[in-house]
Formats: sequence, structure tokens, C-alpha cells
Amino acid sequence: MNRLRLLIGCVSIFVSVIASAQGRYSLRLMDEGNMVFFYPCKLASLQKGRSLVYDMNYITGRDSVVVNMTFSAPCSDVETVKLMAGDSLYETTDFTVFYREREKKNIASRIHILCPKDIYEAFFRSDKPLVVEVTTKSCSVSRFSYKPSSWKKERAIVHEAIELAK
Amino acid sequence: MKKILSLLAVAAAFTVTSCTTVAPLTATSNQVGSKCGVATETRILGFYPLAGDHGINKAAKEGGIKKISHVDVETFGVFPFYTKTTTQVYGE
Repeated sequence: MNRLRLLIGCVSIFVSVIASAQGRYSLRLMDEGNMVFFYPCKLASLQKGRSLVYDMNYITGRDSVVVNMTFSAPCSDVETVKLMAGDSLYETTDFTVFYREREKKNIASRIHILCPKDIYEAFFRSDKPLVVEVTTKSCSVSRFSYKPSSWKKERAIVHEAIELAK
Repeated sequence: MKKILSLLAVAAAFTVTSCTTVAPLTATSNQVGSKCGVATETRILGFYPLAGDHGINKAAKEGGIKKISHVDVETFGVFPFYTKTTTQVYGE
């Protein structure tokens, strides 16, 4: 019985390790250059009951990076989206909402922003993790970020992907 | 020692059985787009999730895509425990 438990435990750990090793981005060729699509990543929420999953689309021939995020919270009247890491900051009220949907007790809003490429690349040069802040009219400010260990890994992957794409 | 070796052998077997494949699903006559949207469904031990959606519509909504150029499906699995299916939609 103990052996069986140990085996099940080892298999579970192994599956989660392998699952986490799956590719983080994909590369495509386009007329405007190379497109690197970073698969959705869930950030840790600093408030209970809210979540943020975001993905990025980096095209070498363009001067901005597409950042799409699914923001799940009790309210959906988003006013401002802010991205910051270290000394770099990008704040915008110029965003598009693709859709809003009821998700259990929350409302999921799919937000689209364009982040200038130089600022975006500066985020991933910073030692401090990226923080995404979403301000809504009805609810308090929602903050999401990477865990320090995940940030180190994510930074390295994004750097590698961008260098390979150029 | 025997226990450790047998566990290592099992672990190695699962490593070998895990894989990722990307297959084409469909392509249209629309121009190849610069937008990408994905939708994912995860299954454990082959059981369907309570609320899974990796359809083309879901993926297109995620990317804000209104004209689809092509769709790929990526499957990642650790047989027989874990399968992750991702639909990737490209378009404008």
C-alpha cells in the first residue's frame, strides 16, 4: 500500500513537471517579419476572487506588441490598464474589449492593448517581476504579478524568443 | 535501492510516452492574418472536464479574430494520465 502511494505520488509530480515543460511560444513567418505568439499565462492575483490570464503577440516588423488579457472580477467597467516592471511603466485608457461574459460569480472581460515595443522589451530586462494593474469604476484596483521564481524563467524565455525571431 | 531503480524506470517510461503534436485542422481563402487566439481543454485520465471549450469560436474570440485564415490543433499528452488540447486560430 505504501509503495502504491509512493508510486502515485511520483507519477503525479512527474506529470506536472512534464506538463510545465511544454513550449511557451510559437513562431510564424509573415510578410511583416516573424511573429512570436506567447501562449496564455496566468498571473498570481494580489486580491481574492480575481484572475488575469494574458497572452502576447510580438511581430518583428511592427513597433508595438499586442497584449490580450482575460480579466475576471465582480465588475467589468475597466478604466485603465497599467503594466510595470522596475522603472518601466505603460499605462493606457486606449484599449478594446473583445467580449464580456458571465463566469460564475465574476464577469470575464477580454481586453486588448497595444504596448510600445521598446517599453515591452524593457519590462523583460527588469529584475523585478511584471505587474499588471487593472482599474475599474466599480471595484478597487486589481493587481496581478509573477512569482519571483516564475519571473526569472519567463524573462529568459521571452528574451530567447525575441532574439531568435529577429 | 531496488525501489528507487524501479521508480526511476517508471518515470523514464512516462517521459518517453509524453509528446506534443501540432496538426492542421483547416485553412480558408482569407489572407494569412497577424492575429492569434487560442483555446485549451485539459483532460485527466481521459475524463472530460466539467466546463471545457477548445472550439474554433472560442479561440477566435480570444484573439479578436473576425476573419479566420487557418486553424491548427496542438495536443500534448502524458499517456494515459494527462492530455492538453489547444486550438490555435490565425486571422484578422
